[in-house]
Amino acid sequence: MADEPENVNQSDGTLAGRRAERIKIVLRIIWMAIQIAIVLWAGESGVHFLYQGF
Amino acid sequence: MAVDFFARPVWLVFGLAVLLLTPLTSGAVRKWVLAALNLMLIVTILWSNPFMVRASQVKLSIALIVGVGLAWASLRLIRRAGKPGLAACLCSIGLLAVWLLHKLPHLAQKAHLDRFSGLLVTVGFSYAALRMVEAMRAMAERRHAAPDIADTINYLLPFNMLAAGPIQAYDDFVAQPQVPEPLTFKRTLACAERIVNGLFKKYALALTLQRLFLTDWRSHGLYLLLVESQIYYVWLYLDFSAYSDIAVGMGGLLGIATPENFNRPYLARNVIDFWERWHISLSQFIRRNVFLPLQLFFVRRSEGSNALGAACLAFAISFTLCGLWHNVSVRWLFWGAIQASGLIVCYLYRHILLKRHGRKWVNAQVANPVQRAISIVLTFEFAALSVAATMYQR
Repeated sequence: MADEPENVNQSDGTLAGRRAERIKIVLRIIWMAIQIAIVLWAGESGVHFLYQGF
Repeated sequence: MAVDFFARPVWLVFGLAVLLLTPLTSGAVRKWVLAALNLMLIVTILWSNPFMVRASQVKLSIALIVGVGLAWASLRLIRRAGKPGLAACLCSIGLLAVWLLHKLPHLAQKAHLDRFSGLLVTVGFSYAALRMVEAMRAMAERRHAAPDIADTINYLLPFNMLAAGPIQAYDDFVAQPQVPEPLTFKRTLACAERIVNGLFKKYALALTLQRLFLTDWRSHGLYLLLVESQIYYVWLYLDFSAYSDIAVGMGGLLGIATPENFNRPYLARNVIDFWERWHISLSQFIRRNVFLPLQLFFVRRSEGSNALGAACLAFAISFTLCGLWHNVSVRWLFWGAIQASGLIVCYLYRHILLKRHGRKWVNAQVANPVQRAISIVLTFEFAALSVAATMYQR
């Protein structure tokens, strides 16, 4: 990751490109929030629930 | 694993590190603050252990400081000695003795050093020992100046790499800027994603797989054991790479150079390719410090007449030692031997194909999608079954 160029995923500078870039960022943040929610749920009760339900 | 990344002390130290290190613009102040935080994590883990009495906590905290002091003094001694090779050998014997205490708990028990062995587990000594080897070699070869105490702590005991590596090369540690470039939004987002991905892999995916499908090899019948061996290998990747993701993400946010440890290992096409994708920092450590020096030694010994044999012998010794590093037992010696055999067969096979058919023909075979798919499946099975054969117990 240290070598990852900063311009990866940068928009092409047009209005549509910038909008697409912003949407991608929002989607990434939403996916992170979902993952955190699953981790907090699955930490104990979630996995236990799955295990019992199987 | 030495440190649970979900435990409170890790997040406490990480939060403090973000708060304290981000605004610092002085490299000298920054490294001392980081060193203090690195030590703070270990001391906090020791002091939050409910099974440890206060006297033990104090003793182990003192032992930690003494250990760091000894490591620092050893590195200075090697760097300044008239015969650095000899000094490095003597220090290596001491390091090996401590490592054996860490790996053989019954030995520590016999020597009444069980508490000390607990400290070694907390500092992730398997990894700290490899970093010490890197630093000693750099000192013996006079590649860098001797580190001060802060650098010794920051290299040997980085809090984000304490649990399960990665193993940072000493050259990379020295080369990183003392004050990292300011974080951009994109970089911050990418690092946060790595941390969250790691948590998701470990505490949602790996944990679910473990609870639902893994039985500690108590499944009945060969078919179920084979299925378990496949799932165990997937679980191992999810669990282990999760630690690396969290370490890389934390390192990226704090400007601590943290090497990548995995590069889609399931796509490896042969055992050599596998070891370039799985636990990369360990395989690079082995390559730098064991394989290449041994290969060079054997080539020189045979006066260049048996380069192939030299490489095979170097593979055999390197990966047998790699097995023993994981655990000093016949089981892991066997695992190391299997890996070495796989690497040697692969190396010889490639050599024979190149000699008989030439590079063009070999490249055409490599590009063939059917052959690629078959070789990926075979490599996956090799890795999964070799781990299963090592871990299997009734």
